[in-house]
Amino acid sequence: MSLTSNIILPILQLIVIVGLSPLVKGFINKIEARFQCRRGPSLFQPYYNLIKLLRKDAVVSETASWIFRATPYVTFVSILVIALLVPVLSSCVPLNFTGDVILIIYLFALGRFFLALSSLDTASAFGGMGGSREMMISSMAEPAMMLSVFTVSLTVGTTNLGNITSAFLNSSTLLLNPSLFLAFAALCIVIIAETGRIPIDNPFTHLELTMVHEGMVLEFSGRYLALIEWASGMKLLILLTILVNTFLPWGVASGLTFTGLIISFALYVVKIGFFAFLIAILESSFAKLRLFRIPNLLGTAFILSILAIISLYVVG
Amino acid sequence: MTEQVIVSSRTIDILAVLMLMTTIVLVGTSRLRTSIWAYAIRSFLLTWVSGLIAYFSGIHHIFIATGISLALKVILIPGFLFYIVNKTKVKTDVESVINYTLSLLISCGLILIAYYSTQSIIKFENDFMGHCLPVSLAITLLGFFVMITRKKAITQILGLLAMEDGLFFAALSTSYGMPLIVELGVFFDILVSVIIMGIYVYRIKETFDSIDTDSLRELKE
Repeated sequence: MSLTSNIILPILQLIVIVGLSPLVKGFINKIEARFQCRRGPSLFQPYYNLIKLLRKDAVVSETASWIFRATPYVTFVSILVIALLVPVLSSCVPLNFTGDVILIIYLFALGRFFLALSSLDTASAFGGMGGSREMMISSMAEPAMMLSVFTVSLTVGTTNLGNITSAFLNSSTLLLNPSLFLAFAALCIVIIAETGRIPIDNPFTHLELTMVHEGMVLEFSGRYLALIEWASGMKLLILLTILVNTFLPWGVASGLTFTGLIISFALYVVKIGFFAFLIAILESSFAKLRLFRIPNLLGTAFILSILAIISLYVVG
Repeated sequence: MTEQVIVSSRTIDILAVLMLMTTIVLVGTSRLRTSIWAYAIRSFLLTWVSGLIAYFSGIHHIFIATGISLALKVILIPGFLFYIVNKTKVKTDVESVINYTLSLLISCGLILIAYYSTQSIIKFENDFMGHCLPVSLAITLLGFFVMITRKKAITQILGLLAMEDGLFFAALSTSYGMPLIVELGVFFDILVSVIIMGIYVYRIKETFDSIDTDSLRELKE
């Protein structure tokens, strides 16, 4: 890559991920409101919320330690780094040299770890509950995510997401692998669990006994809350991007031409919009699972991912 | 293999894996209606596969089997099962002897056994439709497992149907189906047995006020 592309690509990618992530949230909320025969808030409501929160002062509990203050920044920055490790518009990845999909999984885990720590930090009852639930869910979702990602890596022979995308772009029959279908199904369930959408966790609850993610962030306010909300929105968009650009890579630009990027961006918006629409349908048609039923769903994801990797070994 | 052969064999493999997923749903779900839907979808996929195999191989009698399977397994039997569930007004929870997470793990083990035990045959076949034989064996084993571990009569019927699907798929994918007369016999068998078992379920419900087959033991007293 030349010097200009080294500068332009990361900036473009950050603008897309950081800038569009509240819009995805707003889009899902709008569709769900339409399903409930409401007009719903504006598409840009999440932006207004973020601006409002950023202007406000943060209230921090007197008993909170430095972990509480560091957590929003750690969460936000770990997600930002992931945003540069994922192919978004082009199959070239800005931070190609530093890490691959394994680093991405651990960066997600880093953010989650700090969030759980900070939820224990203020010793509020809701926080501890949310933190322990989040850890339970992620301990079951993470192996499934790893195995399904490794299935893809084994098919292509690399753990670099950019190379995976370009390999699928270049070969027409490589994607037609039954093992990849199993991995895709497992990854869909994992994404719902990781982002706390409805069958696992309800993102719209505040002060309910069943909350998971909201319970953890209950003590945060002002700009801290804004950073965490923004990071969770980005996490959703990044996971959808990984899903879309790995399993449906058509249209992703392989170089850095202007027209290629425009086409790639248009297709990207369509694909992400389609999956956001699917999430909205799912959230409107299902109730939240009971906490003790969650291992059931995530166990299914785990089994699908194990099958994916085993069938790849046995059949090829 | 030419590209076209690869694509068609991969397509059938993907449908086979989707069938396996619906069977995992049968093991993992806790709702009766979901499991009947899973059966209907699996039968639909099976019909699709047999249509594709008939088209690719050009053997005519598979088309007839496909048509009958569409009418019987996709429409008639699921419809009848839904009718029974509505008529008996049972609680639509699936009850299992062992808990769901454990049964999911056991079914995972069964599928692994199916894949590893057919490994040598697949290698012999040069990967052509390589997922079909292990998947059909896995579906048969899972159906058997569901029959053993579920308490309700209807879920036991669904287990039997899964076993039958697995066997039909095995015959279809390895040797382009059995002779037509055998297949017709099997279809008719399945239809009659489902109807008889349905009536039986209804009688159990009338007598014991539940369709839990454990309560049949009370006959001893």
